[in-house]
Amino acid sequence: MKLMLLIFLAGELRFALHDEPKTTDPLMTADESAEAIKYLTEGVLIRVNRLTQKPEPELATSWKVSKDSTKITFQLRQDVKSFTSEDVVKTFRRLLDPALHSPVADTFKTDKGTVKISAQGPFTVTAEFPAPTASIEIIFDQVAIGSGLGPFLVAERKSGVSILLKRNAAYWKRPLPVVDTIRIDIEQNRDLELLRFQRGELHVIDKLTPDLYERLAAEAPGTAVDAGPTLDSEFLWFNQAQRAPIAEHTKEWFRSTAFRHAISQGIQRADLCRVVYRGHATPAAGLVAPSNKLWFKQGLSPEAFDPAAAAKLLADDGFRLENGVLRDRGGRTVEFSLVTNAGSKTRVRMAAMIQEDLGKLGIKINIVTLDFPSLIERMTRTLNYEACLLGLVNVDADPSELMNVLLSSASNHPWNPSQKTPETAWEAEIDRLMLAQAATADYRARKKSFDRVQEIMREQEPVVYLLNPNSLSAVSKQVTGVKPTAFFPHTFWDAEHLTVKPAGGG
Amino acid sequence: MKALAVGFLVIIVLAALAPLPAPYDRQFRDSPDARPSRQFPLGTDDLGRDRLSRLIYGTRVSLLLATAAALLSCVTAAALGGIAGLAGGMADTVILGAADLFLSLPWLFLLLLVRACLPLNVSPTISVAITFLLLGALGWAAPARVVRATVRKLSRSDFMLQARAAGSSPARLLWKHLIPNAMPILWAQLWITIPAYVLAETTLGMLGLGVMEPLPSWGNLLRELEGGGIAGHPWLLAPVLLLAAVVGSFQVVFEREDYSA
Amino acid sequence: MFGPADRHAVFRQIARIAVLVLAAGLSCAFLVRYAPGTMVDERELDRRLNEESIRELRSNKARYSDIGATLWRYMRGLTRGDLGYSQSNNAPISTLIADRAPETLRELAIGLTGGWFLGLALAIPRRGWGFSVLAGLLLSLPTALIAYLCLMEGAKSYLVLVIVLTPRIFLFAHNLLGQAYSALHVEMARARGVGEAKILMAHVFPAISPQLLALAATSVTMAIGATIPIEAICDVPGLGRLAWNAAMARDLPLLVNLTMLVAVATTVSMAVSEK
Repeated sequence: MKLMLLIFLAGELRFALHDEPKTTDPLMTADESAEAIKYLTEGVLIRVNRLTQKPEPELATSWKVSKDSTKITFQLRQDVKSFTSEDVVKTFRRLLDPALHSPVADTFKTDKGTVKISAQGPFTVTAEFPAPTASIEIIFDQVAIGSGLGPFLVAERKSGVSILLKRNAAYWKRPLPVVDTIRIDIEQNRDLELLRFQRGELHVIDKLTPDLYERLAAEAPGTAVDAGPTLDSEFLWFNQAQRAPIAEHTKEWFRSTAFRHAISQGIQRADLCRVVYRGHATPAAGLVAPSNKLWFKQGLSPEAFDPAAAAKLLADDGFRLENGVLRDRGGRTVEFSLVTNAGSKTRVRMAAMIQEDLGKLGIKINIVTLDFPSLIERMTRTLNYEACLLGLVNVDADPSELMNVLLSSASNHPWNPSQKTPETAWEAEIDRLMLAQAATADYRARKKSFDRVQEIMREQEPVVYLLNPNSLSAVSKQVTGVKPTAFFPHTFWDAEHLTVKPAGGG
Repeated sequence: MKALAVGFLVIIVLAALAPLPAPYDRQFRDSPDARPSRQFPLGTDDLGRDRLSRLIYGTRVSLLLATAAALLSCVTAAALGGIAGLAGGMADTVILGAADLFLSLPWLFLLLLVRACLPLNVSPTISVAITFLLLGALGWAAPARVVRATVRKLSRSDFMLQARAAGSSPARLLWKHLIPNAMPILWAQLWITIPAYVLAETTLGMLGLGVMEPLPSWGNLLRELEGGGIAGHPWLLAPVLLLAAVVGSFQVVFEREDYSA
Repeated sequence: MFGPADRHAVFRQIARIAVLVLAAGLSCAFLVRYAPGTMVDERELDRRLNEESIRELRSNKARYSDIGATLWRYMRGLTRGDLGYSQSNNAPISTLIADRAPETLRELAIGLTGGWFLGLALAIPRRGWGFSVLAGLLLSLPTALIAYLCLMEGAKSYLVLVIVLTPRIFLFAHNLLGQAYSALHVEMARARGVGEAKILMAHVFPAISPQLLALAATSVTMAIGATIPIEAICDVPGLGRLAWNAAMARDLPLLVNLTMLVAVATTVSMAVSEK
């Protein structure tokens, strides 16, 4: 009966990706499109349920973590054809090959060494880490084991056009997946994607911009879904690098904590959420989104909009307002540029609003929009920028994900990358705390360290956190079983259980 | 018809020079995407800025800069196309080769390079003026080819034979006889190029090379039309209609009925 | 008959085209290499990567920093029929071009044919100002806007090209015809009772054929230029969208190849128009 029902409901799920996957190698995925294909076609030992954020057994039926969190032992499924511990070992051997430079592999490497994977029988595998590793099981969600062990297989790939996935007949969760095929179109134009969704040519849209969400909500109520706040954030920061080729007096402003606080207090975050994000965002309280209940420091709240307080901070710091123009101690007009990426309408709008807000404090902002490669070059190589407005996509709630951002020596440390030694005491303290939380698996100890990191980031405010956007998706009434979440993939994370009703059917 | 077009152009010029109904960059944040009203005759944009003010100010920016760029292209095209058509030989080969090269290259990267060389805090007006002038300097190739073909044909005409026989220098032949007779072609090029440069600014805006916020332009006003939604918001077509009316008026005003050599 | 002089002229043209195409490739390589953002890889911002992996990414990109060596490698590959590898698409360039070219060629063929047919058909009868105004209106509409409007109505991308090209061809043809029809010999023919069709074919077209050919060549390059925004907006998997994405990703080998392709199309169409 169940089988007949599944046959009846078998159909084709259709959605779009915004770019061609950059790689077909599941161990080398670095872009969202490649990750999507990997998610649908590859098997993993453990899968993090995108709704509950809890690890669930997949190719591993169970696992045991040692007390010191340096070892995890998996018991593998025995009912998967031709799948044994040897497949896991081979996968990790390839993954950890230094010549591969897999982004996934780097999460298994530390300066203390690399993970060792060994088989203790045909269905038992052990991974030994050189140091205690927090949330040790979660990182295995990223590693695709073997080949063709996922719910779907790639049946056809037309470069730049579409990818067709078909049901994996040998999938060990038979009779799943329900749908026969998934057709994924490569659609770069989001307006066209929405149009096709409205015409019934696509069943889900994984990520909608606020404008498109509002349009869909008005034209087809019930199909636009707001899954709530994500872990992502939008923020701006000031270039504090010594070697940055910007004026010394500008660096002096940016190094002043009072200046940074004043900027933060001068920006109306609520307006950014209401006007730019149409209410589908919440003002950011800091480094961690409040929706990250496990790691958010309770008690932190978004910086209040208080232009009077901001003006006072500036005045106390030696700035003075003359005829509506703010001047520093040397009599120079406080004017600086804010760079952001040209392709993002939301960021350009935010920049325009920030420009107006700070204009009221007498600060002149010049908005400079750059295409993404030019922006990256300025951020990471030439350091030829003053302030930057950008966003962070957080796929993992764990603080270790922010290691390569918060460590002062990291090349992705936004306001002053690649420091040989921390240039300020508070950055040295952040380094110590981040390394400390990474060296233990004890949640309480980690939380204490990371809470202090959040406090320091708030006290010093090298980054002005603006807002946390919500997860906005579109789901057709033809599809059942979709439970949109704030985590990628937002709509098709449970693709094997989704059903597609025939068009026009009840 | 001509009188109507002239009148329209005068109104446009006066309107563009007049004080604005409201500052073009002021954000009325409680009224984003507002429909037309007495306070906002063309409604507001997504940041609550008065669309009419932005249209008027954008007319100043776009009309001036796009026209300047188009004029630069056409003048360069007239000079180079004229020389190639008149002189022939090596000059013709070199200029044609350069034209073909210019038509093939992705000049976008030069624009990115120039933008990267500008100081970060350069004013939006200067930044966009440099971009437009560069576009104008690079856009001569297509019109030059057409001018060259026209000049080649005209240089075999009787009046040219007469002028040569009268001892006119090549420069005089070009300036006094050929270019004036090629004017219909050049005017046609101008009508095509002005909106093309307005649009080029829109496309460049997607790469960070267009008009910087908060400066409005026809290009960034036209971007509001992206994604449809015109059906419910016909006032969004105002910049399109204005652009069409201005270009059409130029066409009517400057189109010559007498084409005799 | 195809004599020695004609053969010589053809060889000269081919040589000229080859020189221009190489010059275009070389110029493109320099422009892209020194444009901001070329030597960076977006993946450097991936927070999972450690410093060693980031260094590896940077050294991969640094392979292209020596433009001379890059071009030399490319030319050597070209002699073997290898157009190089596209890092941004993770595929051989020859495969990418072979996959995408048919779509673009179809679009160009239909767009140009439609544009010329309509443009000439409207210009030939030399109607009053109505068509001029309509052409002026269409000329004022940006290609991207036309593409969007057509997109919303579900029209195909080649229709956008027809709409983009028709007014341009119409306006030029209208002006050229105006000029030609006012010639004395045409008035003479009319006075002698020669039919309009014969006047058009025997007197008007021959007089303006050089300019029409020049316009034809220009319309090919206009059409090629228009395919980039049209394909980008209408999401057509053709060479235009490939070029746009390559420009965004600063994919130097792919951009050099596509520039040389455009140069071939431009110079060949110009050479044909010269004949």
